[in-house]
Amino acid sequence: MAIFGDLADFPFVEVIAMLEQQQGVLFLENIGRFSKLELHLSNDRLKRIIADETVIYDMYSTTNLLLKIAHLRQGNFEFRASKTHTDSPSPLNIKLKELLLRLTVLDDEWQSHLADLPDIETRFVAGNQELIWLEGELQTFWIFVEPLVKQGVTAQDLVLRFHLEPRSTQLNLYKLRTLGLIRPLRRIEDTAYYRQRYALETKLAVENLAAKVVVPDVLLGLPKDKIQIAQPPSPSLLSKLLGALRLMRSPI
Amino acid sequence: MSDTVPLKIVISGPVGSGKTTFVQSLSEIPVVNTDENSTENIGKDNTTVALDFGLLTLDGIPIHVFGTPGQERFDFMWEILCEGALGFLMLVPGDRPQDFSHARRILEFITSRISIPFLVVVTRQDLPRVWNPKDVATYFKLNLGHVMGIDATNADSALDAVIRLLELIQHQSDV
Repeated sequence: MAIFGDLADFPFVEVIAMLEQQQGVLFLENIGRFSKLELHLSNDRLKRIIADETVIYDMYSTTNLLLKIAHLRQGNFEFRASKTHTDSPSPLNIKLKELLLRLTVLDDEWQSHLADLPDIETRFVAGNQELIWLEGELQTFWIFVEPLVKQGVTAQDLVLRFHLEPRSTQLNLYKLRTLGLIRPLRRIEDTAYYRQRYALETKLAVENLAAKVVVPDVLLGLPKDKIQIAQPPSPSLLSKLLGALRLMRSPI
Repeated sequence: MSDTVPLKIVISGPVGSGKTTFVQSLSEIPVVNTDENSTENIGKDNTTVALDFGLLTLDGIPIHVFGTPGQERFDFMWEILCEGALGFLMLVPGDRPQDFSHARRILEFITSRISIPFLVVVTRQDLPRVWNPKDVATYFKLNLGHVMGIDATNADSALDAVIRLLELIQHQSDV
């Protein structure tokens, strides 16, 4: 039996659906930055992924990679049936039906929230909401991004630095924002606040009043040219402008 | 900031939020605009494709007032126009809650990238069925001080928004 084709013509979800009852290895070539991927299937489950000779162990990277494959719609596939499997323990054990559901649902979910999603370059920082119960994948995403939001992170950062799938990344950030776990950085307020705190801590350190200076995470995470706070107009100019505006306005 | 540098205020918001009207209400010169016939269904015949430009002179000091295009494909303009601006007014049509998410997207994109004072201005407050500023502030997760309601067709109302923006800048400079 030869099952092969081009993912541009044959959607990945349909390939997976077709192989549900099969046992063997699905080989994928030229998928994004990967030249070769192997998906080991057995007993309705995905047991192992090898991406350019690296075995992927964690669930989050696996889901992201599969979403990416489904979304990219590029590269070739070929399935080779086999009865035997390597003796080493399987790092994964994902039911193919659940995987299919996730892949198909993401598109609908993403489309339905498209108008609400934050821009891919909007920077988020930690929100004020205390941790609440999160469902599986969102919980995994939160564990992954929580250390990063301390210094501010955008969906684009996550996509470029960690090769995450863009749509699910935007969607997960949107969900975390809605839950209050993250919020958009307000540069005018946040950087002013952190700068003040930093300046105070520096002053205290110089005066030996504090043991150490803690450089604010938000400042560390931003390119220097982006943290410059524009000098506000001088107080005299502001007063002048406000005075003229108030004169122009008709008496209430 | 040097007092001789021309000052600039940027007005942004979704399509149909009243940006052109707002600039017209403030400007002492005929507004230079680049309205074109809409080539897609955006709910009106004409729309701003590049920017609106108006001029407001306060005590001899010229303030350039720029209105940005509302359509998403011109989003590269928002950042260019906001660079070095005195402040940024985000117009939100209070009778069109379906546009709020777009307005929030623009606001968050700009304010998370550029250190700029801003005010969310809820327009169409003259209409009987309209969101009030307090509820819009809740939606945007902003302090009420950052949100106010106006009628963009009324020059005094537009001036009030600029006054509030400058008061916010004054307050932020004091902190």
